[in-house]
Amino acid sequence: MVGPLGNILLVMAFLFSGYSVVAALIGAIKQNNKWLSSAYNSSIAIALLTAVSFLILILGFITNHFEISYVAQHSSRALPLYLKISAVWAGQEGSLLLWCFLQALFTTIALHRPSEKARSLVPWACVILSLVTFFFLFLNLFFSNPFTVSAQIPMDGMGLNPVLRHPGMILHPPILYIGYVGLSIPFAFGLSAVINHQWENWTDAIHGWILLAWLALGFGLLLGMRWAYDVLGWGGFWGWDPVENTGLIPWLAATALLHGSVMQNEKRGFWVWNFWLAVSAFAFVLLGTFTTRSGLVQSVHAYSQSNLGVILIIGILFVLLSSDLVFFNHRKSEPPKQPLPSLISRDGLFFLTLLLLATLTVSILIGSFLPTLSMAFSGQSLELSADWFDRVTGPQFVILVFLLGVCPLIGRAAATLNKIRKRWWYGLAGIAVAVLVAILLGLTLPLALIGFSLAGLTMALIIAEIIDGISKARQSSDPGQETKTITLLMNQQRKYGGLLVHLGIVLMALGIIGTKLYPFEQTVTLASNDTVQLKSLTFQFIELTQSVQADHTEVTASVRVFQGEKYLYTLKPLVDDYGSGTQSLTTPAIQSDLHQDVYVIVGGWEPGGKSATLKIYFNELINFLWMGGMVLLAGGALAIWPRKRDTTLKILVTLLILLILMGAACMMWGLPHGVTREIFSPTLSASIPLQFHLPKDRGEGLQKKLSPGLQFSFEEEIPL
Amino acid sequence: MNTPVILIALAVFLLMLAFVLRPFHNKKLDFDELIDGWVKEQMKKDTAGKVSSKGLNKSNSTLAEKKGDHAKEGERRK
Repeated sequence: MVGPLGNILLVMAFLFSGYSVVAALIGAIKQNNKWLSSAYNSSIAIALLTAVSFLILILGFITNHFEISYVAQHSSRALPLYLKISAVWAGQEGSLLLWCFLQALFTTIALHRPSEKARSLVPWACVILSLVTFFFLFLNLFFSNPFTVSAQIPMDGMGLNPVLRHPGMILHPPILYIGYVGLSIPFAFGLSAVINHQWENWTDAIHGWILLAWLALGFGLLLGMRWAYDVLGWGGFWGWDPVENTGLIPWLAATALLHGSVMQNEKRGFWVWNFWLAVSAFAFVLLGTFTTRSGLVQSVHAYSQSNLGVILIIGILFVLLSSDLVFFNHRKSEPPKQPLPSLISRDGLFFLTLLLLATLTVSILIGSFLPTLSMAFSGQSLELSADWFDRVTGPQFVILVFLLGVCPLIGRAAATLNKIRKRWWYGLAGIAVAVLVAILLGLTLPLALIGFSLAGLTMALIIAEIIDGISKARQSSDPGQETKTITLLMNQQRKYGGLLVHLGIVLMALGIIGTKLYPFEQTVTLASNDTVQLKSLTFQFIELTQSVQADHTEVTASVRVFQGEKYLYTLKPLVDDYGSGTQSLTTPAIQSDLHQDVYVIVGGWEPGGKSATLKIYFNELINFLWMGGMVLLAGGALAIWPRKRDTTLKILVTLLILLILMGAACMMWGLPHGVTREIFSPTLSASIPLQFHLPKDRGEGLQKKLSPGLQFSFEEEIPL
Repeated sequence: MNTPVILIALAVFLLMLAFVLRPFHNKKLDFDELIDGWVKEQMKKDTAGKVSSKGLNKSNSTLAEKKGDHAKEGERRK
C-alpha cells in the first residue's frame, strides 16, 4: 500500500503543478486575481501532496518496505533509525522528491503575504516558480520515481553506501537543497521584475531569500567539507571534485548577488548585474544537478547511473534562452544607468568585488568542466589537478580577502579620508600581531607571512569598524541605556552580520594558509611497540583489535602519542569492512587543538597483524577554518534575523539558528574522533603484547583487500 | 492496486481540487482575504495597546495604502 499511495500522491502533485502553470499564466496575462489565487492554492496543494508523499517514503524506509526498489537499494534491516531516515535522500529518486517538496514549499511561502514592493511581481513570479516545480516533478515522476515497486520482494535491502553512514548525511544534503531551491526565488522575481519593467526594487523585496539561499549553501558546503575531512581519510577537506565545485559555483554567484543587491537596494544601479547573477545562480544550480545526476562526471558525490542528463540540459537551455528573450525584449524599459563614480569608491569596490567573484566562478567552472568537454570534443580528457585550481583561484582569493578589509573603509570621499586617518594604526597593529603570531607558531615562509599580514590587516579593520559602530551607538544613547544601544546596533543588523561574515572568511583563509603552505604527511609501517618520531611527537603503535558489528567488521589500531617521555593520548583510527562487494571505510583518529590537528589513518597491515601501516598528517591551523565557518554562519544568522516585531517569529528563528549552530559545532568538534586517554599513563618503554584477532570467515576477505597476496593466519574465536 | 488506496487517493484528490478551485466560487479572493486578515490582526493588536502609536499609524497606513491600491485597480480595470 505504501508504494502505490506515495506514487498516486506524486501523480496528483504533478497534475496540480501542470494546472498551476496554466492558471498562473492566465492570471498573469489577463491580470485576473481568481486565476492567480487558484494557482496559489494549487501550489499549497502541491506542497501538501509532496510532503505527504515524502513522509510515506520515510515510512517505507523505517518499516523496511523492500518491495519498493528504492528502499531495497538504499536501506537494510540492520541500519540504525537515523541512517534509515537519512537514507531517504541518499539516492537520486528520494533526493529529487525532497527537492520537489522544498520547491513547492518555498513557492508557497514566497508568494504568501507579499510585501508592498513584491506584490506587483507576484503574478509572473508565480508562473515561473510553478514552472520550476512542474519541471522537477516531471523529472521525479517519469525519470526517477522513488515509488517503483519490484515484482520480487527481497528479504533484506542492500544497505547504505558506507561513505554515507555518517551524521553528516542527516544535515548536509537537505541544507544544500534548501540553498539550491532558495535560489529559484531570486530567479523568478528577477525575471518577473524585468517583465513588469520594475528594474529597481525587486532585490529589496526578496533580499531575505537571497540571504537564506546563500546561508544554506554556505552551511551545506561547510558541513560537506567537515564530512570529507572526517570520513574520506585523505587528510583534506576540499578536493576540487567537480561535484564539490558545482556546489561552490552557485554559492559564489549568490555571494555576488548578495553584494549587488546591497548596492541596488541603496539605489545605486547594478540591476542588470543582479538580473544576470540571479539567472546564472539558478542556471548553475541546474548545472550542478546535471553534473551529479547525468552520470557523465566521475565523483564520490555523483549518482552512478542516471537518465536525467538530456532533460536537465534542456532545462538549463530553457532557463538561459527564456531569460535572454525576456531581457532583450524589455531592455528599452531599463532606467538610465548611473555612471560609476571611480574605482576607489564604495560603488567601485563593490563593482570590483562582483568582477572578482565572477572571474572566480568562471575559473572554477572551466576547471570543473574542461575534462568532460575535452572528452566530448576530442576524445581525450584534459584532467586538471587540485594544484591547477589552487594556482588559479589562490591569487583571486587573496585579492578578495584584501577587499574585505578595505571595503568598510571606503565611503564618501571626505569620510573615507577621515576613516583612513583614524584607522591606519589599527591596520598596522593587526599586521604586527599577525606576523608575531605566525613567527611564534614557526610559520615563517614568506608567503605565509604575507598571508598573515593581509589577514591581520583585514581583521583589524573589520574589528575597528565594529568597535566604531558600538561606540557611536553608545554615544547616541544615554548612559545606562544598554537596551537602546543594542536596538541601535540591531537596526544595522545586516551591516554587522556582513562584517562578521567577512571576519569568518578571514579566519577560514588562515586555516587554508596553514594547510596549503605547511602540508605534512608521512606513511610509516610499525611493528607492535615500535615508535616513530614526527615533529615533536612520538607515535607508538600498540595493537590492532577487531570487533564484529551488526553489519560490518571494525578493525581498530591503537597508537599512543608521547611528547618526549610524557604520555599525551591514544589515537584509534578504524577500518570498517562491510563485506564483499562494498568498499571499506577508513575513519581517521583526529586530535585537535588550535595550532594543528594530528590526523592518523590505517593504511593496511602485514600478515598476522605483526605490523601496521599508518598515514600520519599534521594539519596546521585547520581549526581556524572550522571556527571561521562558525563565525560566518553566526554573521549570516544575524543578517537574516527577522526585522518584524513578531515575538513568536523571533523566538522560532532564534531556536532554529541555535539548533543550526549547535549542529554545526557538534559536527566540527562534538563527534568522537577516535581519541582516548588511558587511565594509567603508559610509558614509552613498557612492552605490551600485540593482539590481533580476526574470525576466519571475515578476516580472510578483509585481509585480501588490504594486503593481497600475503599469507595470514587466523584465530578461530574472537577473545572478549 | 487495492480499494483502500483508490478510495484514499480519490478523497484526497477531490479535497485538493475543491481547495484549488475555491477562488472561482468565493466572492472574496484568497489573496485579499489573507491581507485583510493580516490588517485586522494588526488593528486588533493596536487597539489592545500591544503596539506603540507608531505601529498603529503604520498599520493604518497599510490599510489606507491597501484601499488606495484597490481604488487604483478598479480605475485601471474601468
